[in-house]
Amino acid sequence: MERLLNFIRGNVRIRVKCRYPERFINICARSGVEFWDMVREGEELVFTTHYADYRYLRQREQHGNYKIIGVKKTGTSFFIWRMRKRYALLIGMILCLGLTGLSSFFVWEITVSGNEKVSAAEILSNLEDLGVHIGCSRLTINQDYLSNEMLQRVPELCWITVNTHGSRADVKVREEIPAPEVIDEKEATVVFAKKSGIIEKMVVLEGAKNVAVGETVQAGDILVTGEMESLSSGTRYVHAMGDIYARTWYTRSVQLSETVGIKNYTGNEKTRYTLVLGGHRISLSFRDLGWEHYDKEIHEKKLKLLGAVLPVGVAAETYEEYTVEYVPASNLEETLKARLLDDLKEETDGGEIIWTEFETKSEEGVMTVTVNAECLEQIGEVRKLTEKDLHESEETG
Amino acid sequence: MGFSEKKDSFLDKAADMFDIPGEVVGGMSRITVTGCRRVLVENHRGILEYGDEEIHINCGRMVLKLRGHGMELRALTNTELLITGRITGMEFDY
Repeated sequence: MERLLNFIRGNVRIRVKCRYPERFINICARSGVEFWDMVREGEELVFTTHYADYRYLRQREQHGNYKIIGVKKTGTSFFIWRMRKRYALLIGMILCLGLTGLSSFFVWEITVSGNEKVSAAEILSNLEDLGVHIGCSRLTINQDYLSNEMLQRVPELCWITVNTHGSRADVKVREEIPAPEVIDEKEATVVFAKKSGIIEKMVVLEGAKNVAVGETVQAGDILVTGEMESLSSGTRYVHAMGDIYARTWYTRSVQLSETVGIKNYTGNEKTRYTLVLGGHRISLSFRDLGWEHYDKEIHEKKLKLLGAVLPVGVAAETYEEYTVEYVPASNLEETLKARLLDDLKEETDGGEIIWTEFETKSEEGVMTVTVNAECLEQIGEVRKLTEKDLHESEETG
Repeated sequence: MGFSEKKDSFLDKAADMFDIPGEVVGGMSRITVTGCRRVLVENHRGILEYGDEEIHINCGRMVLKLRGHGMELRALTNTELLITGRITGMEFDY
């Protein structure tokens, strides 16, 4: 590291001729002249020192008993000094620095963090509509405006900020946590059937039963009502609650092709490079691949200068050729049956599957599996007691 | 390496008696040897002879003679010097 710094500062390797080299070394020590890589060759000393120390030694050459006979300058500062008359190079350097400075006023990289449910693509897409995209000026980013607009556009977000660091924009978001549903226990409700079936068991926590065990109910029928009749106090309304278990029947089918395509990689691989300039991509390869099937993998690397992202990058696109082979699917029937059972479990919300009957058909290379199932599940759902319910109860009562 | 009783100064004797570091009281040189490849000399008075096989260092009341191969003066200031290389021998000359 020290050597690197010395190289940037500029070093001078000098050859000094003196009758008493030791005296010269002591003079250097007393004068604070730093040196390293010192080699003695008879009456000559060869060593490396800083340019400032070299100039000091040059000035003292007349008075000291030594003579500097060889000088070799190395390092960045000398390189720049040597290049001072190469105007084209100088203009190029100034242009390069100018463009780099100018490019730092634009956004060349956007990162999104803090999102879990809302995808980064959705956030970026909305931000693009609001003018924040790769290549936009970072001076035009208005935090308050963006925050207000984005919270309206993406209601799942409760907070958003766009921080710019050089040419990088960090979008930080916080998603809203939905408030839990508050059950008003004083509100008059009914428990209705969300599915048709035969009532098997009723666990009524509050309210009056409207149906009995063994009765067949249709979806939408009221199972437990919140309207309670009493001889002493007349009609009162309660918050009906309860779990109503019923036997339900399902017929479901799934279809799948009896053959499946398998990728066989041929081993042919090609890498193509694309130049990324701002938001534009310029392919550096113009020949057609000539492959029917291939996988494509893109690795993009943006150039950085002192931590700042530049609008220039290179994307390596790796193509891997494969052929598709169609083979008979193994255990297809079992797979389809398992899928049907999983679907039933999901549909009955974890209910019990009492009985199943499968039917398998195979037509034109497509297998169809149908299941007839009987399940035991909770079908009661609470909703608000309406005027219509009261009228219906009056009519039936 | 023999130490002559006659050449020890009063300050050196006092430093020994009171167990005080010699470099503090008597202005002695402090020599730190790391393995056989690195010698750091503090409070030196200058270099008397310099070569890649032999280096003589003035340490005030004595001369430190270092012998070795490929010896190099890595750093030198008014009070400290660092020598690296393969050191095969050290001698104190009074």
